[in-house]
Amino acid sequence: MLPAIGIFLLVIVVIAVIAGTWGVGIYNGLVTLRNACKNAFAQVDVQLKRRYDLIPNLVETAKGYMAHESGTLTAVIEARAKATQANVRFAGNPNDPAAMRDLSQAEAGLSGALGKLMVVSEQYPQLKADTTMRALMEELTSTENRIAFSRQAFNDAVLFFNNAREVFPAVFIANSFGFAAAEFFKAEEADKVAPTVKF
Amino acid sequence: MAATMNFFRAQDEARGRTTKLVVLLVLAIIVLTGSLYVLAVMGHGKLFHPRGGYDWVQPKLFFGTTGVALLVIIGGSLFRIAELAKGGGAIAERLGGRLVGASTIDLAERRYLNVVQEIALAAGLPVPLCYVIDGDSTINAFAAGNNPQDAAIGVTRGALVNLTREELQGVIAHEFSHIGNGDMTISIRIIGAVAGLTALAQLGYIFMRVGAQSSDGDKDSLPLTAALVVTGLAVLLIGSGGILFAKIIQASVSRQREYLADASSVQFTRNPLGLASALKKVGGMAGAKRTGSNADLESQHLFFASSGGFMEFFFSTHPPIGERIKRIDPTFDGIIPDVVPVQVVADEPTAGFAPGFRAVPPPLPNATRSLPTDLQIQDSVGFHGTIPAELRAASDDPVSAMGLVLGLILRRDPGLRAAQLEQARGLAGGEVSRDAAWLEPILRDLPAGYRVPLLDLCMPALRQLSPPQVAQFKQAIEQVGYQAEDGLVVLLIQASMHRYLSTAKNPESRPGDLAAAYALVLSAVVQTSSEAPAAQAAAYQLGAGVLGLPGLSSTIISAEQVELQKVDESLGVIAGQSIYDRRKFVRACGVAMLNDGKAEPAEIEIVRAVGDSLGISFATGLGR
Repeated sequence: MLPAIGIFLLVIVVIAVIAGTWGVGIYNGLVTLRNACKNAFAQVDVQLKRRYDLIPNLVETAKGYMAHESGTLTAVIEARAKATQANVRFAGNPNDPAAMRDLSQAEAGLSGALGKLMVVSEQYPQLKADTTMRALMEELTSTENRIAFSRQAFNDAVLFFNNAREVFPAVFIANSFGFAAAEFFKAEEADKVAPTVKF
Repeated sequence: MAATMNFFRAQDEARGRTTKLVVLLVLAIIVLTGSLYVLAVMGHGKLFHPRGGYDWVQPKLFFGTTGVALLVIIGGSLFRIAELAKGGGAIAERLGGRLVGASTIDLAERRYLNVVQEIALAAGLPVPLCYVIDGDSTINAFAAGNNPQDAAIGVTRGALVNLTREELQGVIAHEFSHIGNGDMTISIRIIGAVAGLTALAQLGYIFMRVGAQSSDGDKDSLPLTAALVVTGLAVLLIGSGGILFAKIIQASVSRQREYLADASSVQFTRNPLGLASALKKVGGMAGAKRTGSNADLESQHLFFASSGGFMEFFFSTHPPIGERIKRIDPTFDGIIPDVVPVQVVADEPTAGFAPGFRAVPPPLPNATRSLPTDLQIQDSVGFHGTIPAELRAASDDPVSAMGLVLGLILRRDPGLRAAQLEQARGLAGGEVSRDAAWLEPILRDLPAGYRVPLLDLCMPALRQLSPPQVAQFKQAIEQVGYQAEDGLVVLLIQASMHRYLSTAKNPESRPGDLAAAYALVLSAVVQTSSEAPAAQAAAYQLGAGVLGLPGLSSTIISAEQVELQKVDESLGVIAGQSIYDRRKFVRACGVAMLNDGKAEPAEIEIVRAVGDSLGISFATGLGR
């Protein structure tokens, strides 16, 4: 009753079970890593939102002292609006690389505009002496540092995920189940030089 | 009161339950494979000897059917266990949970996170990941994970909106006791067993579908498809027997645990009324249909309350609600009120668990009576104070949490402190040093016994660091720690970080003389207490008695010979032992600590440090 064909079927079943278990393991590993990216972004997002919230106050305070620099202030406001929009778009499609690139760019633009505001504000000693402004500046610098730090954690998570999905044999599972490569949250040049203000 | 009666049998039962699970599983497999064999013999007879009787002794057929059945059951089981090995978070996500971050602005979620933190501190357990099942409007909750450090807790949206703070505390504490009593490991095994037993039915179903689908092909294949359908139907029937077994296994193994978890919940919160009232609300919503969560057959027993359904009485994974309420609140009159959503206002963490609640912790034994149980040891390391709001807020954010941990090892001397802060300047652009400097005055004024709960609070935020960031932070702690005033806190931090941030399964170990290592660490534990030397020697002997290792010195090592560096090395030696020996050692330390019937803050700290270095949680069931 159980000649070659039975044994053959048994072997097939054994192989199928082992391969299946292995495949599930890889799949779950990818899901875990992708969720880690999502959770890491939540950390960045907290700090980004904190920066969005700080900016209106900052601009409002600066306005009183630097009436002649309305162009710089408007640029900050506009860059903030762009960044918040990009943030909302990315929140809608967290797996879309293009949305992440937009967000990176918009955030870089915001950092650039803020950096310019800092440079300009150097010329207004009264503004620099204002206590509200000082507190806001300190808060902003702290937030920038935290953004950089949480972005590093996010990019590490993205790197782990991308590495895991590119190696053999995970790449087959990644491709057949639609695990697209995640996009890094890049710090553009403008961002890197931004918050170096000394009071 | 009624609730206290079950406390002490807790962990000894755990091992018994695994045995019970295995026995039931083997029984189920024997019955299933037996019926499959009978089926095969009958099929074989019909096919090849239509006129003759059945030949019941066919070794080849027997091994064939048994082999396939075992393969399906064990394969299905391992498949699911492998899937769940990723930890509590993976299970929570499978059940439809969404991770709630510290940044949530939803008031109900904020309150939930606060409650989880409070209970974690009271239970002396790490703060788990917190999940919400948004689509489920019934009142329910679950705990999942392989061990306390990767545990996850989840509640339904219905629980968040319908329960008051006190009721939520009761429910969360119930789930914590599943984490604490080591129920989660067995839960995963149950899921595995159930998955294996149901796999057979699924296989039968697949056969039937394949047979039915191919039946509209050409006529030649008709006997084959008919055979497929019949075989499939038969396997499905036998597999349904497997599901029945699975339900019985689930029910019998998990029902008793629910009473125990209810009792422990009262122990953690010191308040039976919150849980009783929550249970009444669950009863009040019993008719509601559960939607939106993926709680299926396999995972029923993970939840706070069973989801109803047919044959509730026989196969329920949970005891009847009325009975559960009566056990914690003997005055229960059987009247279950209607459930109305509660108004959640801005939540402030409570000041620990207010005194004046009715339940009292179980009394500790006198020296003349028996040794303290594991639950008593666990209860005595729990924290019931109040963490200042600033520190609590800092512990939510990864950068500030690093600052908090760093703040614990800062020197009092301003000059030395500044030098320490300078060393950590590279972390997060100096933010960590800044936060540490800001938090240090608050930390300095804290009473003894706050360092362990503070570290526990910080760990979830620190888990959000990426591995390179963790490595950086560990290095900084090591450097700054060289100049710490109190070496114990550095040991505590390192042990705790190693335990909760490292991906390695077992602690690092080194070779050495085990008896000497036991003696040294046990002496160090005993000597942190303020007792008289004679009492310390007695405590040491008590602990050494628990270990019962031949060659272990029965006299305490003098305090001059015990240095922290040596303690650290000895812990490395003990870390190389089996998990059972490590548990036994931690238990011995706990017994020695409670020799005088009370746990001093310093004693708790060193016992926790020992436990964390050895990868043993008090709550995982020391006795198992």
